[in-house]
Amino acid sequence: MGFVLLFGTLRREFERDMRSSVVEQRAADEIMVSVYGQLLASYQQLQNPSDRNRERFDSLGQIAYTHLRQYLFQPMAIEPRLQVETIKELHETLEVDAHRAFDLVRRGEADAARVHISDMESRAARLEREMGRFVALRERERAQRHDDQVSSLQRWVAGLALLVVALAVYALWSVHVVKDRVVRPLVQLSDASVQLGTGDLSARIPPQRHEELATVARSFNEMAVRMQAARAEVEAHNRELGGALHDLREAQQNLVQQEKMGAIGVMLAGLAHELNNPLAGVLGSAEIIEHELGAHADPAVRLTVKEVVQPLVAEARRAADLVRNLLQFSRKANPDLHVVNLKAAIDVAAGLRAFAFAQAGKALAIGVPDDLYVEAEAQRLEHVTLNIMSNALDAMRGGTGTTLFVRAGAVEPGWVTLSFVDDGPGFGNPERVFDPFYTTKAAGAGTGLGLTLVHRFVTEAGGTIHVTNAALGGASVTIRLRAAAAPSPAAAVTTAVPLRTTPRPVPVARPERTVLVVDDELALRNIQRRFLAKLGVRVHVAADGAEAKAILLREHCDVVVTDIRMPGEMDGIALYHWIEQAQPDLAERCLFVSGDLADWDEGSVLRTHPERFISKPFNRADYLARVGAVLDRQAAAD
Amino acid sequence: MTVPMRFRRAAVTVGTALVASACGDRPPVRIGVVAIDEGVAGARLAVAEINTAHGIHGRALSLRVMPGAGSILARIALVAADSLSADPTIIGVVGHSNSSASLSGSQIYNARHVVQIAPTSSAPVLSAAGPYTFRLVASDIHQARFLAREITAGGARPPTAVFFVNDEYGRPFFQELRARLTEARVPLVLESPYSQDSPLTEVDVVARAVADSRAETVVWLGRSAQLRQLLPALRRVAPRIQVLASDGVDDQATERNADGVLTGVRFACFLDMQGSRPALVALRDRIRATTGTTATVETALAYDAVMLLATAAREVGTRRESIREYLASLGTTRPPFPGASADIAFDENGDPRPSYCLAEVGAQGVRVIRSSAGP
Repeated sequence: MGFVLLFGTLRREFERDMRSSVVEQRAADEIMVSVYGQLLASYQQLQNPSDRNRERFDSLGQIAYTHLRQYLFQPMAIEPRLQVETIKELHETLEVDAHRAFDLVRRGEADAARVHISDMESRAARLEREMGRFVALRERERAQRHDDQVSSLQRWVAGLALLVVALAVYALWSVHVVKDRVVRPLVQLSDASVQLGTGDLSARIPPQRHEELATVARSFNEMAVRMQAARAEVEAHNRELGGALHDLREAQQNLVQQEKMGAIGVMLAGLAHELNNPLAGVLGSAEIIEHELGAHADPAVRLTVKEVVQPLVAEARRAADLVRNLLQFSRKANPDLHVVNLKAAIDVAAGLRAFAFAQAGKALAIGVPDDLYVEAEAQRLEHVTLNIMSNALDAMRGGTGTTLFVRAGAVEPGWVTLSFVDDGPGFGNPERVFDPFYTTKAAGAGTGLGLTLVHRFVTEAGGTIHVTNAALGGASVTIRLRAAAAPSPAAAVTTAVPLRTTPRPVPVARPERTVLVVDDELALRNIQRRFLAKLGVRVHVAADGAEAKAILLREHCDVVVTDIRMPGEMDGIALYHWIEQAQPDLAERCLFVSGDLADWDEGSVLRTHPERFISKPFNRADYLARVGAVLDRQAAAD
Repeated sequence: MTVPMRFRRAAVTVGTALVASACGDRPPVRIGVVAIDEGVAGARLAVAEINTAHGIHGRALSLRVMPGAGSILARIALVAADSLSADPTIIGVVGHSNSSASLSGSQIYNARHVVQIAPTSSAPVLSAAGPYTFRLVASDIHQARFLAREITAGGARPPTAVFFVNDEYGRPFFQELRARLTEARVPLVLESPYSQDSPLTEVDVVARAVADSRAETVVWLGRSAQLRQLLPALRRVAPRIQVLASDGVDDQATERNADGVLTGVRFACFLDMQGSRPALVALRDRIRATTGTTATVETALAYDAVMLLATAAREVGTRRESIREYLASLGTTRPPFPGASADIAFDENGDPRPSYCLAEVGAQGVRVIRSSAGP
């Protein structure tokens, strides 16, 4: 700005000098024209005197005087000003000479006047020279001023250039300082804030040199640390809440399932109980017919047995299985959890199904570590494993699938994961496999309750079960069970007990043995009596507990086989408790028959001695095996 | 009791020395003087009186008198002005001796912001010299009118011959006078310029020309020296002719009129030096007492100019601009300065109120015959 003003000032001065130069040159010309005009007028006065010449002389003199006076008020150095004074004096003298000449002319003294005019002429010539000198001085003065101005301008330009360089350096330094001390910390603060805002709580600002920024950085870092700690705490809470929510959802799902199952179970329990008795009668009667007429001499009878009675037995057994499953299904969730060796349970099931797998040409690949222990009910765990293996085998029998892989491991803390993966066709509808009575097997091949029970057993043990279809085909069943610590060597581990005992050969009955059969159903009393006839024992029958008590009070009985649920004041359990009191030796030889598994109350004899339980409908061989076993044990004791 | 002059001079010198010693190392306040001897005498008297009265706030007042600067030549005035204005201790300049010199120097003073008080310069153009130029006498425009009234007093229209010095003093003076006389129908029978720096030659021819012109009155606008050259020849050819002169002839030579040549010449003057104004009377007495000479208008006005500058320095300090403002305020925001010559005040051009008197040279000296407060 200053440079522009200076330049403008110098430009105006230059223009003023130029105008002044022109004006002065013009004034000089006017002066000289006037002076020579005065000289001419003087000559004319000499030649032809007249007042007009004088008037013209005075008029021109006034013009010259006026122009000379202009110089007085022009700013100029001393030398040209002195030159102006010289010119003025010359002009004044020239005019004095002229007036002398005019006076002489008027008096007719032309020669004397000519002398004065001659002096005028020489003064005019000198005046012209002095005027030229004055103009030259003024030009030199202007040139000098112009040079001074140019020099001044050059100095200013140089100074300005230096100033610009200095300002540029200062600006760069300032930018550097601002960038280093302000912008960079602010960018760091901004970046850290953005990081923090996007959730990266590890964002920190490096230490700052400037006190205020250092304070901001410290505050920010402290805030970030606090936020990080708070977030860790919140995340921990979230994880806990997530876990709790997951557990809650699972529990809710299980609850819903259990409620659903419970509702169905209540209905099924009553239905199964009502079915088991007639079914037991049908099955028992059919087996008796099959057994007694199967070896008949008449081929027509044998053919009838084969075509009518044997299918009847088979269908009755299937119905019995169905009812048994229904009863299992309806049973209350009251698992008796123990530490169970997973490998042992799986080996039991695998042992039962190994032959079937081999017969079907399928492989059973088991990879379960020996040291995995879970909280479970051993029989139920075996049931679960056996059911899944059977389903897999049934699915693979269709043609596709060659192998069932069984794997287990402690993938997550506190849990053991057991998986069954086959390469078969997979589940038709995975979402429904746990629904009761849902089955994809051929009609008559399944009850539709197997996986439902599996689901129930697993969830009642506190675990979870999921089924999926593998991406490349095949079904996958994943079970999570609570992990349990390995028991000490002294502690007993519940080991597998086969659900189905292989029917043992019927032992030879002792004629002196007496078996009391107690059942409110006449048909079942008769069937059991006919079964026991095979053992060669004497059989007493009673229709209820009271009658049985009366028989026992008057007769010696070696074995009591009693129905549990009977009408009257004394059911089978009450009878057992009376026997425990009245005939303690007989108590351990009591067998119980029931069509309702729900009768297994906590603490009852059925829980402590499940081997004494014969479920309705029973088949002949199993029934005789159970009773025979007790008789054998008594015989051994004797 | 009469005190010998040398003792009085010694007293002034001692007073100045005492003030100077009291000032210690403080530089003196200086005033430049470019004047003829009478003016320098008045200036020195003023300085002595100021220093006797403790100087300028304890600082001694001194003069820087330019040697030979009393010259009426403008070229010499320029050199003096250049030197004085370049001196930083100078608070103002009293000068110069005539209008041409004052006008030439004024441009330098104004360019360098130095106050100039021209005691006796009356050229009209000096009114436009600049804000730093003041003078103690009015413009010759007024004097020309004053003379024209004298010529035409009583309705007279005498044929008039005018001699004027052909410079910044005489030329505009003549032009204004011619205009006034023409206006009064006074026949202007002869107009004769002359040069200030050269003596009149061919005085007989000039005198004969006046006689031939039948002029009854000769008006002389210039110094007394050339008039004394002309008058004897003029008296011979026109014994009864009246001579009326401008203030230019008011000098010691005229006052003395030792050869009697100027007897009968009447002239305009700015100040009646024989006036009864107490300050003027005291000035006359002190001049006579200190120098043994007679105080002239130059003396009184130079005295007043120095007193005026010293008073300004006392009042507003020695800064040149402040002094200029002080002078410009006299008669407006400040009362007029009570000088020995008059109460001094300035208009916007730095000019005082016009005041003239008419004096006549007699065998015994000059006698004021009429005073006028204005044109």
